[in-house]
Amino acid sequence: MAARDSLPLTSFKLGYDDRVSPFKIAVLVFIREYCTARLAQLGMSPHSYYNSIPPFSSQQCKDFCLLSLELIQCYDVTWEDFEIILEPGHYNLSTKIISEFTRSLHQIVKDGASGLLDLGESLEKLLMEPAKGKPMIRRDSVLGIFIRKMVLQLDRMTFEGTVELSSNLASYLDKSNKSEDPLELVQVSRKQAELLVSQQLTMLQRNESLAHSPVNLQKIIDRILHENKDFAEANFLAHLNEMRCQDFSQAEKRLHQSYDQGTISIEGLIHSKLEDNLMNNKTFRHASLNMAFLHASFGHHELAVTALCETVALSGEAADHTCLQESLAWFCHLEENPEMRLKMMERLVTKSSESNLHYLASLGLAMWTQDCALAGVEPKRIFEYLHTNDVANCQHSLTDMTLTCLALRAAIWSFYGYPRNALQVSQLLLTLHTGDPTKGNIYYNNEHMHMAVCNIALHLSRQGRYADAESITKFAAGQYANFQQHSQIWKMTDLHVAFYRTLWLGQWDKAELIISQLAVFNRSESLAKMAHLMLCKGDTCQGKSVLKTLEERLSNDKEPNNHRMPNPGWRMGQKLRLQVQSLVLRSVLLSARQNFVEALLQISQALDICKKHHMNLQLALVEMQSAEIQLMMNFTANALDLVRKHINIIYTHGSLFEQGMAIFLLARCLLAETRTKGCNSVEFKSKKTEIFPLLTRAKRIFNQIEAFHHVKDVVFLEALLYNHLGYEKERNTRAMVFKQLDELYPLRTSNNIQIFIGL
Amino acid sequence: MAVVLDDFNFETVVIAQDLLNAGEECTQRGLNFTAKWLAEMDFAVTQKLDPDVADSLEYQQPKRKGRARYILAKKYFDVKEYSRCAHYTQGCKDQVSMFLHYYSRYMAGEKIVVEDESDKSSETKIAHLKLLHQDLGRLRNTAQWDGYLCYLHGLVLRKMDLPHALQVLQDAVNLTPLNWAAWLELANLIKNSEMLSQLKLPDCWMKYLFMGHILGELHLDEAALSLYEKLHQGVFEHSLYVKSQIAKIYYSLRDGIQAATKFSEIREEDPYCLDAMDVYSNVLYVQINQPELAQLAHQAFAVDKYRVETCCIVGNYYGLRGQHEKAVLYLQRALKLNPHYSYAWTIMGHENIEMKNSNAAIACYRKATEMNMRDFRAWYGLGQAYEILKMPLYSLYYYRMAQSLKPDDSRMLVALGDAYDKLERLHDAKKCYWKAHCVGDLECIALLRLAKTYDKLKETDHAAAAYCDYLRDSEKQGSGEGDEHHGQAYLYLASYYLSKGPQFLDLAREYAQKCVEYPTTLADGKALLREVAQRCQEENSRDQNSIFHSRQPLRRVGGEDSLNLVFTP
Repeated sequence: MAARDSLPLTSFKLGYDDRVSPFKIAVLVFIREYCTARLAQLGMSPHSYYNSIPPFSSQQCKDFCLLSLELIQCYDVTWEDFEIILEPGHYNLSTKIISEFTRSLHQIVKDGASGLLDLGESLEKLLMEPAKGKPMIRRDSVLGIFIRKMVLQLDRMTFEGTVELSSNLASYLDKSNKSEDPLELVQVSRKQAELLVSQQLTMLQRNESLAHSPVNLQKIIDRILHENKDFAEANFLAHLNEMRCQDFSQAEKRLHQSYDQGTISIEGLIHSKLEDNLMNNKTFRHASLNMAFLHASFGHHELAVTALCETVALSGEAADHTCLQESLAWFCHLEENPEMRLKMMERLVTKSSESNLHYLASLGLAMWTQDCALAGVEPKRIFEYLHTNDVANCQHSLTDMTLTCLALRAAIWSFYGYPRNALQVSQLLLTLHTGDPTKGNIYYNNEHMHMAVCNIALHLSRQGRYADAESITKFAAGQYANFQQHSQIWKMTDLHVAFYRTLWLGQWDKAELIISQLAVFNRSESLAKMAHLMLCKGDTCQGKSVLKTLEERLSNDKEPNNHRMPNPGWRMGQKLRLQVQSLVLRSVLLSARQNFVEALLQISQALDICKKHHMNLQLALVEMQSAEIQLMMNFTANALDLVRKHINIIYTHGSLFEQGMAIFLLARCLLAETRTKGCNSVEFKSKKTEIFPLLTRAKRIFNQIEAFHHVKDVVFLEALLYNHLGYEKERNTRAMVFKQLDELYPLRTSNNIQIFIGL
Repeated sequence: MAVVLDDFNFETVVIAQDLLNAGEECTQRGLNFTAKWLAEMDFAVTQKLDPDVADSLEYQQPKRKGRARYILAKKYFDVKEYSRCAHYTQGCKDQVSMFLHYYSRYMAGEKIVVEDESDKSSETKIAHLKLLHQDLGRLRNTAQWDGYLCYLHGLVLRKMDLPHALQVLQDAVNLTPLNWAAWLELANLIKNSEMLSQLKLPDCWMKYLFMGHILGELHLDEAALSLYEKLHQGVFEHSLYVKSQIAKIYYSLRDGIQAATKFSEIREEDPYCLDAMDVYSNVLYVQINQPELAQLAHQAFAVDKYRVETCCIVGNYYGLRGQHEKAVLYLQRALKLNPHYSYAWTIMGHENIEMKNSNAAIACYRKATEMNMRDFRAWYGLGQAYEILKMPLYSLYYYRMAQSLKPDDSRMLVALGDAYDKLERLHDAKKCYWKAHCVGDLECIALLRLAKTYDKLKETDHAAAAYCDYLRDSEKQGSGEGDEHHGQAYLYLASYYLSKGPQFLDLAREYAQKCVEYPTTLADGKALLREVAQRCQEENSRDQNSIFHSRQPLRRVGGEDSLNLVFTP
C-alpha cells in the first residue's frame, strides 16, 4: 500500500539526458535506411540501390514502426541480440534493408568521426525532405523527437567525444571481444534505467510473476546503480526486492539509502548554487511511512506504530492530508482492539472521501466491511457496504480495489456458508479485464487472484474432484513461486486438502506429518487439526491437552493475520471458525467419556457463535453434531428432528463429505427410531426401503471422495441390518466388502463418534 | 590488537638501507608519491645515524639492458606524456621497463578520466582498466612477475571493484614489503578488525607503520597511539609522518590540546607542509582557535591554493567565522578538485546543518559514507540531520551505525540514548547513558540524562543518586556552562529529599538554598525553601505535641506516683 506513489522524489538532473550510445547510433542508422528506401520507393529520391526493391507491404511498414518504437524504449542490447531481433521471424522486414543497414553501419565505423557527423546531417534531412511541408518523419512524432534529441546530442559533442563514440561503436560491432556476462556490456542510460525501474515497480505491484526473479532483479539494480550511483528509485526498487526475500537488514539499509539520496541532486551540491537545494519534506514523510510499512510487514508492531506517529507528526506540520490518511489506514491495520479499529476506519472513510482520496476511502470501506462482517453485523448491511464500495470503485476506476472488493465478497460468502456463491465471485474475479492499456497492459495477478484460484481448487476438492483441484494447485505453484510473499496461500490450501484426504483414508502418520508442515504457516489451524486427528485415533488424553493449548491460544490470540485486510480468502474469520471447531471437538471428547450434558453445553456455545455471526453452514453442521450426540444419548426423536430440519442446507451448500455424513446420520436416526418405537418386523421391513437407499447414497458419496474410512462404517451397518433382516446373501457380500476394505485400510481406532468437521 | 612492539628489533642501518633501495626502485618505476614518502622517512631515519655510516650507504644499481630506451621512456613519463612512454616501453622484458609500460598505460587512462570527468559514461571510464587487467593477468606466473607489477594489478582490480583485489594486494606486500603504496591500497580494502587479523603479512618493519595506519583508520585509537608512540621514541623520532599520525590520533581521541601541539611542532619544522593540515584545521575549529586557523589558512593559501587541504582549511575557517555560504563555496572547490575526498563531504554536511538545510546535509553525509564507510562523523551527522527533521526512528539507525564504528565514544552513546529517549524506549536509553558514563563522558551529559531517564521511569532513588554523581563530577571538572542543569539537579534533589521524610529536611533545605543561586530555578527554589520551612515548623509543633502527648501519661504516672507518694508515705 505504502509503495503506491510514495517513491522517493526523482533526483533527475538537467543535462543528464540520454547519452548517445553505439546502440543508439545503430538504431538511428536503421531508421535512416528504412526512410531512404521508403523515399526511393515513393519516387521522391533517386537512390539507385533501393529503386530495385519492391514496395513495402503494409505489414512491413507496421512492423517497422513497432520495432523502432521498441528499439527507442528498450535498454541497450548487444549487437548479437540486435541481429537476432532483425532476423526474419520476429519482424517482417525486407532483407535488403537489413543488409544495407549493416553495411552502412560498418561504413560509418570505417569513416570514423566524419561518418558520425555525416549521419547527423543526413538524419536532419529526413525531418525536412522531400518537401518542407510534408517531410518523411514529422518533427513532433515519436521518431522525430528521438531523432532531434540524438542529433542535438551529436551536435553538442566535442570532437573528442565524437572520436570516442566512434571507437565505442567499433568495439560494439566487434563480435570477437565479448565477455560472458551479457549485462556487463550493456549500457543503461539514465532514462532507460528509469523506464526499467518503473516497469519493474508496476510489475511487482500488479503481477509479480512477470517481474524478474529477486536474484536477477538485484543483478540488474546493481548494474544500474553502478552507473548511476545516486539513483534513488533504483535503491527503492532494491528495497522492495529485499522485502520480497524477507531480508530485513538489507531492506532497511536500502530504504535509508534511497531516501537519503532521493532528497536532493548530488551534482547540484557541487556545481550549483544553494538556492537550488530547496527543502522538500514530502519525501521525508513518505520515508517515515515506508519505514512503518517495513516494520509492519516484518511484524515489528511497536516500531511500526512509532514510525507512524512520526509520520503523523511530520504530515500534521505540513498539513498533508494524503499522508495523514495513509498513516491512518496503517493505524487501522495495526490496531488490535476491534472497537477502536471500527472507530478509526469510520474516520478514515469519511475523511478520505472528503479529501477526494478515493483509493484510501475505498480501502477503508473494505476494511470496515470485513470488520463488520466479523463482528456479526446483519448480512444485508454488509452487502450494502460492498455494493457501495463497488460503485465507488467503478466510478474512480480503481481496478486494484475492485479486485480487493471481489475477493472480500467471495470471502464473506464463504464465511456465511455459501461456498457456491463464493466460487462464482472468485470466477468473476479471475475473468475480470484488469489490464490498463496506458500502463503497459499488465494484467493484475496479485494476492487476490491467487486467493481466487485457491478458492476454486478448494471447491473442486470439496466436490471430490481431486485431480482437477491438483492441476489447479499446480498452476498456482507455477504462478506464485517460492519467493513471492503470498506463496503460502496455495501451500496452505494444498495442505488443508491433503490433511482431510489422508484422514479419511485412515493414514494417521501421514496426517501428522502434514500437520507439522502446516504449523509453519499457521499454528492455530494446525492445533485444531491435531486435536481432530487425536480424537479420530481415539487418543482422548492427547486430544484433550492439544485442545487445551488451542483454546488458550484462541482466548489470547494475537496472531497478526487474524483480522487483517490482506487475508480475506477462505480463511476469513478463521478465529471464529476455529473457536467453533474447538467447541465441537471438545463436545466430541466429552461424549466419548459419556459426559453428554457437558458436551451439549459446548455445542450450545458453538451454536451461539454461529448464530451471532450468521454462519449458516457451520450452524447446520454443529446441529448435526448435536444430533449425533443426542442419538448416542438415545434422544432419537430429537435427533431426527434436528437432522431433518438442517439437512437441506447441507444438501445445498455442504461439501460431499458433509452431505455423506448428514445422510448417514439420517439413516442411523431412522434406524434408531424403529428400535425405540419397538416396530415389529413388518413395519421394520417397510422402513428399510427408506433406510437402504440412504445408506447406498452415503456409501457412494464416501467412495467418491475416497473416504474409505467412512465407507467401512456404512458397509458395516448395512451388513448388520441385512443380518437382522435375515438376508444372508447380501449380508455376506457386505461382510466381504468390509473385509477387503479393512485389509486395504486397516484401522486402529476405538472411537465411534462421527465428527462433523471436514473439507 | 595483537601488535607487540617488543619484537621491533630492526637495526637503524638496515631500515635506512631499505628506505634508500626502495626509494630508488620507486623512482625508477615512476611511483613518485611513494618515493617522496620513502625519502621523507629516509631523511628522518638517517638523522639517527652516525653521519659517516649514513654517507657510506648507497644503492647498488643492477645491470640493465636497453638503458637508452628506458631513459627515454622515463623522461616521457616524467613530463606526463604517458602514452608515448607506453609506446616506447612496449615489448620490454626488463622488470622496471615493464612496470613503467603498464603504469604509464594506467596513468594515461586515469588522466583522461580525470580530465573530462563528466563527459564519459562509466563504461569508458574502466575500459583501460579492463585491458590492463587482462594483460597483467597474463603476465602472472611468468619470470618477470614481481611485487610492483602485482601491486599495479591489485590497484586495477580495486578500481574495478573486483573482490580478489584484496588477495592480490596481499601478495604484492608479501613480494615487495617496502612498497608503501601497496600497503595503503591494502588498507583501503580492510573493513574491520576481523579482516585485519586474517591477513598474512610479511615480517618487515614496514608492517608496523601499516598497522599504525590501519588501526587509526579502524578507530582503534589506543592501540594505534601506543604503537606510534613507541615508533616515535625509537627509529622514527624525527619522522614528521609519524608525528602527524600521532596528532591525528590525539584528535580522534578528542585530545585537542595534544593534537594541536603536535601539529604546531610539525608546522614549525616544515612550514610548507600541507599533508594532514586539514585535520589540524579541524582541531583548531573544534578548539575555536580563530587566530591560529586564520594564520594556517593564510599560509596554506600561499603554499598552494589548488590543494584540497587548502580548500578544506579555508572552508573550516569560514565555517568558524559563521560565514557558512563561503565555507560551502570553498568546500565545493575542494570537491571539484577531488570528488572522492570524503572529509570535505562530511564538513560540507556540517555546514549545511548550520544553515538549517537538512536535505543537503543528508545528501552530503550520505556521499561521505559512500566514500568512506568508516567515517563515523558522517553517520553521526546523518543521525543529527534526521533528528532535526524530527524523524527519530531514522536517526536511531544512523546513530547505531556511528556507535558501532566507535563503540567507546560517549558522544555516540549519548546521541543513541537521546534517540531511544525520543522513541520512549527508556530502558534502552538508560543502558546507553550508563555505558556512556562508564566509557568516560567528558561533558558529564550522560549522568544528567541518565538521571532524567530514571526520573521518567519513576526510579527516584536512582535518579537522585545519578544527580548527586552528576553534581560531584561536574564540580570536579569545573564545567561552567552546566549552570542551568546544576540548578535543575539541585531542584530535583531538594524536592526528592523533601518527599523522603522529616529526617531529610536539612538536606532538602541545603539543596533548595543552592537552587536559589541559579536564575532559572530561583522561583522554584524559593517555593521549596518556604515549603521546607513550613514542614520544619509542622515537625517542630508535632514534636512538641508528641512531647506533650508522651509527657502527659508520664505526668499522670508521676501524679499517681506522687499520689501514691502522698497517700502511701
